Amino acid sequence: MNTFRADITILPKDGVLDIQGKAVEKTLAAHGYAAVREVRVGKFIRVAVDAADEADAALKVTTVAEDLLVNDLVESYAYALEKKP
Amino acid sequence: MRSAVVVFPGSNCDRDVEKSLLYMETGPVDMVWHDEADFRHAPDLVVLPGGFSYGDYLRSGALASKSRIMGAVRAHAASGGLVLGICNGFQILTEAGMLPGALLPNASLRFICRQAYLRVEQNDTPFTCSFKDGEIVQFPIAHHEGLYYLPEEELSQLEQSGRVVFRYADRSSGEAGEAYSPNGSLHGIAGIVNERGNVLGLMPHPERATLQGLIWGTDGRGLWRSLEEHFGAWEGK
Repeated sequence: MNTFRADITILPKDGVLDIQGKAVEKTLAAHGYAAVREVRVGKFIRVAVDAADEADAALKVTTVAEDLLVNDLVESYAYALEKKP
Repeated sequence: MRSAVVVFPGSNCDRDVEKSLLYMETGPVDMVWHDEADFRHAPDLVVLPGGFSYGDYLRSGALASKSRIMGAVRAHAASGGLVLGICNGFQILTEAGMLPGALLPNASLRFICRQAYLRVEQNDTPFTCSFKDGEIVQFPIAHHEGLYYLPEEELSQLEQSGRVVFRYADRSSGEAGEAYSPNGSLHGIAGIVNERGNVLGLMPHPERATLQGLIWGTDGRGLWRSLEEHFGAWEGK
């Protein structure tokens, strides 16, 4: 059994109103950072996964993401896996 | 009518619901801890109360929707039993997939605690049968995540099937809709039922408008009265 580190990034889906992102973007623009745009505010979750190999780890991450971590009606997610020493 | 009120860690309207049901003399009320596998006495009505279950961690209602008791709540609904989710309870029902949609942060990004006016859009449900069709009622709201969201196509299906039960409204004109959403809810939606009509979720708090002497009025009684009418008066009353 190996242990992997999974970094999961969750963002509001395109088309779903992201009020926090809008508020941050407005504030940035008001402070002269208008070139920094399209702000989306989401979540970052880091977990350790015990798995046979990378494919197994990926399956376990997507399973918990879809079961609990992410509400797929309003959120999308991506993840990166790294084998822990 | 026998009621079960589920208590999650962080629920804070559970006692208010219990007091309201007892005040209305609807029958016995069982308080059920979320970690129970089943109800000790088979309920007619299950209430998921308001509050901040699990501190609203991850997403409001997400962790509570995985509680052990939710298996029994699902089974109760699947057999046609009534389920009422108020505020955080509504959020739990959407997270559990028992009602469509999601409750997003209020458009103002503020916690809103105030009275709200609602138009009763459907009075042919067990939860609203004692209200007049189109009646304007006053229930308070207190939430940070109350913006009802559903993708456009599903939203129009929800509307066409008449499953919007409460809509935010203007008290004097009686008009209802998005313009009157205190929280930005699409179509001004404050409460909906599932396809079968036995699961209701609403953000406003009828239990805070039930007891005499509270500042929010007593319009909430209509909801408990509806349930009583639906079941007929409790025999032991």
